[in-house]
Amino acid sequence: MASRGQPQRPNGSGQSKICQFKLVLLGESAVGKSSLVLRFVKGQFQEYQESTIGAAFLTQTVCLDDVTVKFEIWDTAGQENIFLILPSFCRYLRYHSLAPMYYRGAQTAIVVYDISNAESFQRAKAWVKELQRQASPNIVIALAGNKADLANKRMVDADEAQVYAEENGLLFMETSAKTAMNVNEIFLAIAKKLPKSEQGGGGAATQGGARVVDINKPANNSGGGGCCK
Amino acid sequence: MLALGSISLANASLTFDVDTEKKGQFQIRSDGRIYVLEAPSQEAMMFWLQQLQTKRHEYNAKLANMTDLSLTKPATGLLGEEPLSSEDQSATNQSAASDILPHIRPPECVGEQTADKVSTSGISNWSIANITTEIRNHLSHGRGDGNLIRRKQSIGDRFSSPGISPNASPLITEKSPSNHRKSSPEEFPGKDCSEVATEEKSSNPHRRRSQSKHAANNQPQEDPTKSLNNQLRQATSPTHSTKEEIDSNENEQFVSGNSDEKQLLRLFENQQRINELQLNVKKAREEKEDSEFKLRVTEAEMKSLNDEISLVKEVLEAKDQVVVSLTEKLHQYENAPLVLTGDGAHPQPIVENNYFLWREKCAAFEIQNKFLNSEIIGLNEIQIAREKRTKQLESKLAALTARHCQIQRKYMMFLKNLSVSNEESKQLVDQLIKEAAESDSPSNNSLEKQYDMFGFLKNVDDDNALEKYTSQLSYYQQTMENEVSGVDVAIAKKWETVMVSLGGKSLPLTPEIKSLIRAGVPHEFRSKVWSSCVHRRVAKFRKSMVTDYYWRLVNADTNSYSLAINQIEMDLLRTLPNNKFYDSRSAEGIIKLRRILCAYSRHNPDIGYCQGMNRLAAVALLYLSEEEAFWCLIAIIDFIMPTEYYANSMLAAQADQRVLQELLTEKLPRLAAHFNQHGIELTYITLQWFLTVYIDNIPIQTVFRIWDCFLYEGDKILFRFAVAIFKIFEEHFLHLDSSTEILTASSEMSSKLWDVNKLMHAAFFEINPFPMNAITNKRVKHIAKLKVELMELEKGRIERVDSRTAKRPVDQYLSDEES
Repeated sequence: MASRGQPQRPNGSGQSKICQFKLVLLGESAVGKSSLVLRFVKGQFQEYQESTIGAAFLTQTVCLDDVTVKFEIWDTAGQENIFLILPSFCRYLRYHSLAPMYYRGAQTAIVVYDISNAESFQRAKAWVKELQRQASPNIVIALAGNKADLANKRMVDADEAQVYAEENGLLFMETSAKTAMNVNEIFLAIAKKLPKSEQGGGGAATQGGARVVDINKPANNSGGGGCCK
Repeated sequence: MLALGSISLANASLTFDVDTEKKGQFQIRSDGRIYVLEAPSQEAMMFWLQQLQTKRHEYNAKLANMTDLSLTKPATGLLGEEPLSSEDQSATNQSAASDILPHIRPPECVGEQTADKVSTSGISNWSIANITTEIRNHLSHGRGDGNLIRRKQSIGDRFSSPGISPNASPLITEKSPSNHRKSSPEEFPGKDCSEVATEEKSSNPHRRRSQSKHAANNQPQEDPTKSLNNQLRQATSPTHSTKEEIDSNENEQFVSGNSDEKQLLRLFENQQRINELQLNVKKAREEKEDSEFKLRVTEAEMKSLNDEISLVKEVLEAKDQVVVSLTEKLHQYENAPLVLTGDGAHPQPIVENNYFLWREKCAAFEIQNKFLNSEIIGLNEIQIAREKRTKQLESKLAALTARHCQIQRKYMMFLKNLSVSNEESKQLVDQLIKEAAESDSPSNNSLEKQYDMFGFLKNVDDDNALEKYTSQLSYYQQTMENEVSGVDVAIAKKWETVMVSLGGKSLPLTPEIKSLIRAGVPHEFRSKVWSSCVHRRVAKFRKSMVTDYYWRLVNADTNSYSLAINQIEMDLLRTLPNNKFYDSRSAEGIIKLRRILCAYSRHNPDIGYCQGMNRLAAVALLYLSEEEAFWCLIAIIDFIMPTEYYANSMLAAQADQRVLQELLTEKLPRLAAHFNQHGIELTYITLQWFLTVYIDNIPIQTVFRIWDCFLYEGDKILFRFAVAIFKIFEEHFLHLDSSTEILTASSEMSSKLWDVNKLMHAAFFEINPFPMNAITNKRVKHIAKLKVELMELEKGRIERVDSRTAKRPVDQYLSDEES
């Protein structure tokens, strides 16, 4: 309990306003999305984390100087095992048809890859592309090269990823859910980068500083919104 | 006291062999050891065996009584003592046996001295085969022997020493069978012993008769002699006194000197009295002589009788010799029957001998049979008593555990309140809560990594550990109470009858079985029930395939790399990481799980592998064999679930979420409106329930119960339980007024579903009616709608998807679903 690596907790009802942001984690299966979230939210780590089916919802709060940022985190399933080679693979991904539901209205996303798995980096790039095309235009995207503790099995060059991130305007950090390296930092960086004054992200009708965030419009518009046009 | 060894009789079974050379040899099987003992004769052995049985019975009866008493005692004693589990029974019994021994000591017991004396002579007769066993043999079992010894003496000495009352012997004979723990005929040398045993068994009428005759004759003779002697003594004593009187009178006369007439008169009187008395004396003498004569006569008679006895003994000895010689002859014949028959000289005697031999053998077998029957009955009684006792103890334990849970729960509530009300002590209370939650949950006692009976690690991890623990406690309390009240027992009994009457057939679709399944399948029958349900669904398809379909799939091009197999590898250890069967690469479950999932991906390449299937297979494997689990996966994916549940865009799974949304609006309109108001889509919460058939953070006991119904009744169950869960948490949700709170609560909700019975009640009573055809209609509608939406998304590509799904090979085998 004490080892909860989470220094930024709101102490009491502060003076500052509270901003809520919807954050979605994307990435190939088994790159450590759930582990990152679990480390960030609960300060815990499990060598074998149950694979996420569908999505999991968690919240965590980060305190900045004058604002308290509350993340509503959607941790999604990562399985995409067929037709990866197709140009428009996202259409055929297992949970692809579900994914828009989670990232629709998301103001921020963390795309995760595994530094010991080159394929997962390619997949991450594809996700970035997908998000840029279909998610909210002002979405803040962070790229996380997870499992940094497995440096001896590294397959993805950190510089290469850095270059890619800069080219695409992404936040980038190599993280390790196991050692907690850069986990809080990446969320903090996202919190800082998010626009706090007016919440204008994407198609979601969110209200500024208010506690209630309208996650998205009800189901009947899954064909509309920012999706696949 | 001299002790050679001891054998615990509490769990012993007794037996003897007819065919052995040694007629008196028998075996005691106790605590996994076999003790071979030998009595001097078969009769003696039978006597021994009988006594051993009696003792064992007495001991067990006493044990049962003891338990009954202890059951009424307060908790601490019983819990401290730890109820007897079948494993440590033997050890406890041994000590209990020694506790009980003193009670058996009969009051007539002659004492340890005698026992010692007896035992020293008795040891030589013991033949103990298993020397390695710790034989302490306190001849305490010979306690009863005192009686035997005494009786032997009384029989032997009856004629020479009238000091022992002959009445004693019948008394002892009466007592001894019930008082001996082990009587030991061997402890009497040779004949005496057999004599004793014979009398005991009354199997030799001849001897017994002669003995009793002696006793009868002796008794009346002895008594008159004694009384006559006494009379004589009495008669002589007055004579003495009169003589003394005369003397004194004469003295008086002498002293007084001057005699007058009065004195003369007195003298005369005295003289007369003297005469009278002398007459009396004479009579008495005569009487004495008479009785002395009689005594002599009696003694002569006795002598003659003694002679008779010795005569009889001689005769007996002679007969014995004859018997021995005959047996020898018989033996000879037996050894050389061929030679004799070849002779043809004595065909008749051989036949007779054989006949005699077989008769004897037959009789021996009969005795053995009778004995073994009694042994079986005895052991059975013991077994029943034990079972009864175990049950009593179990129910007691359950009651106590329930109480313990209750107290623990109250304690937790109290702590929780404390932590809420007092900020300062919060830390302390938190610590206490953590300790309490970690210290014990009812069924674990060991110190190593703790797994429940299904192999799941018991851990207290997250923030809501307290609440989880409290609900867990209330669950345990409930189960224990059920156990005490016998609800579970009643269900288990019904199941037993069903399973017995079923034999190897699969479970029929009847309302009775359905309600029984809903009431809960007992752990021990779950494998059968599940495989029976699976069989019902896949039998047709399975028959159409080769018999070793599964193993062919397993062994098919194992080297080939595919995306499915890659994904399977990634998921294996992330399936049920907290279960000991799935927690390492070499774990039994992982190896089987890999084969099953790979086989399925080859069986149905259109689906290949989809996350969620791993959990289905893993849970199936907990109760089913590898091959059966594979067929279970096929039953679920290919037959129970609608098509396109796991394939492609997971159209059917998505559609089901919308169906559920509609059902929720019908059944729980307030909650549906509340969710709608906060923009909560059910898919967020329920998709994983449907894809994994509720293997999603829900307590495993609850999952099994849902699976029982799911495998038997089909996919309708998915909706029933989803609505039921929302029904249970409806009020809770209605009090939450932000989407974040609702979503957080919903992610914590599943782990609180400990109360299976409440859930079952909600699923099968509170939300009725729940017609399947309504669901089917809604499904059709939503699948069509979704297809249109997907069409918009996929544009031209949808056609390819359709053509692929249309080619699915298993569609034709779809089983008829209940409606």
